[in-house]
Amino acid sequence: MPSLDDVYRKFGVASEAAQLLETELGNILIFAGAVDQNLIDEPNEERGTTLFKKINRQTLGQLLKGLESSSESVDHFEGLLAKALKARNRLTHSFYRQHNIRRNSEDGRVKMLEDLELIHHDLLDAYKAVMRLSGVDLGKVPLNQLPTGHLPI
Amino acid sequence: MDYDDEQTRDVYAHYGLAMYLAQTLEHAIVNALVILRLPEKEKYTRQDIDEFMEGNFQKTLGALLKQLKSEISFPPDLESVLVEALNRRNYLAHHYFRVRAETFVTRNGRTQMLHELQSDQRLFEKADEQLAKAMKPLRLTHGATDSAYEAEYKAMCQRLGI
Repeated sequence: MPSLDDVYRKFGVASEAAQLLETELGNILIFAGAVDQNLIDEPNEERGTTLFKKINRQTLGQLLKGLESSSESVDHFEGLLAKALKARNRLTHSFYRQHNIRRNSEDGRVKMLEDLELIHHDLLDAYKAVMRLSGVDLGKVPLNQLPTGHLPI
Repeated sequence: MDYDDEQTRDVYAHYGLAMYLAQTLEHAIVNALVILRLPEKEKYTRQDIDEFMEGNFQKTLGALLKQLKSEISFPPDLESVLVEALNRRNYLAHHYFRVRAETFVTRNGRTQMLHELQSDQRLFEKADEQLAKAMKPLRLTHGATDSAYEAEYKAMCQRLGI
């Protein structure tokens, strides 16, 4: 049966997925902004920094609005993104309050973990869709061809 | 499970605990806003209070803190701890795993992350405790005593059959 540590751990894993999604959306918007401002052909450190800072300040909701108004077409997975935004906001603002004293029982923690699993799933679905915009299909990454062994770090 | 795996799992768990304490602090601020309305409690029904709380739960921690500061003046040490908690909460919620991505892949880095997450947990607890202490005289004056809380909690559990 799950412990409270299992719940906290899964919360951390789901939050990391939300931040991966935020990061990837930010990367797309930074690239789109750099193209719009011709920063690829004519690099300008000051304007580049301003662009980065502006995007770095934005919440997931603001990033999604920015993506809708950018040249990137997201019509085909708008639903996935909306679902991910809702999941992320619930996770970060009200997850523990909504479940409240469930954390004190094994049955309650099972429910919390099931909910976290769904939230994580919604976030990963959106992340995979956004990665495809950048030309990366995570569903096709051959896991058996990843490097193995150990890096001495 | 090897040491690296276990340490990685600990980082996620300490992050989850830190965010639990941050959400507890958000709740404490909403409770404080309710306590500030106790002097006029006859004006409000239970439904009014539920709606008031629900409306405030939709707000961000920053917006809640701004509202609280507009209604009450805090001792400077409490104000600074609340502002620090707000900044750390926002950093954890929006940037933490990205900023710490490289740190996360080394043992020393993960040790550092565990220390900072534990320090954040203490910060959120301190903010929560100091806020509760600051609000206590007002709530006691208006009958919201610890024993009244306890009785209300027991009655609620009984109603819900838990």
